[in-house]
Amino acid sequence: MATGLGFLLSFTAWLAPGLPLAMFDAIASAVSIEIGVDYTLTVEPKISGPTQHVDDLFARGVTDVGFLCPPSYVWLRQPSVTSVVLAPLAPVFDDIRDQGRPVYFSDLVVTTDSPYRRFTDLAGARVGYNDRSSLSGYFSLLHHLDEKGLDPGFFGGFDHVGSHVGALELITAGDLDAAAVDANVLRTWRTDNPGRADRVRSIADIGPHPVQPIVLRAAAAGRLLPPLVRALSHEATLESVARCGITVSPRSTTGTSTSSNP
Amino acid sequence: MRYHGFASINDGHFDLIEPMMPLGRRDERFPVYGLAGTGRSDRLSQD
Repeated sequence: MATGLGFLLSFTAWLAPGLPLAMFDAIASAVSIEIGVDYTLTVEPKISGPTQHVDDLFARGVTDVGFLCPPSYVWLRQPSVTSVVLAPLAPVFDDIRDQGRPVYFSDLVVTTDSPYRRFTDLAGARVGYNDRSSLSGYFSLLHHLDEKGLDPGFFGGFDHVGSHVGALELITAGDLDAAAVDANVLRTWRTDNPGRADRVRSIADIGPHPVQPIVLRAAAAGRLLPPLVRALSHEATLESVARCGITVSPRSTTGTSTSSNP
Repeated sequence: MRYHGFASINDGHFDLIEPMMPLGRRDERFPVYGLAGTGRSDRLSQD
């Protein structure tokens, strides 16, 4: 199919491998098949999305489609930037707290045998965050502190640890007391690490947050958006995701959500 | 993890997190420890 997009479609997943890479690969594959081109999928494991301070891969035409954390979309949609266009469809996970909406939660995770029972117990504790583009691990925690009239100085440490999974590894090793972790990453980690799943527990949740969006390079959105929406609407796409090891239920009938009040 | 498919969203979906963004700038007065980096890596290609 002639799309004017060249022979290679470039996807970037800032959310893997905390969220399953297979999920993003299944989506990338479906979109590429719909357009009729090959694709690359690049993983950015060290940050949840582009920041205001780094190179804009969309503006430079390096990547066509991105899976990223909401703060990055908020930065990239600023009138001075506008290098991306929002895809009008977003994933819905089966966390019971989500209630079928395109939202997700942070779980405030500690070790099972720790003395911490509630957020206020974390005064002086060693708390970690994945990165400064993350809504669930960083901004939601800052907002939660701010609502209580506190700042990160409330904790004994507030350390950048690189990823949600990295935070979980440090917590289970006893090198970190707590972290706010994307609830879907936590569930994936528990599935992947059955021997350690019961070594952590959540003492509170923060959310709901607007779920991580799919964004398109603005300069190509006119040609990319229709096939992307068609691809995400195919039952075959959901079945493809299921073949990657993620169970798929019938398509959500949820409508537009504008709620986001962590 | 189960996955329910896709639901419609629009730009307003993200409006309520915009007020959180200044909290990140305020936090920059606190030191950053641990791992850092934004390097690209692990390119996967479909043959």
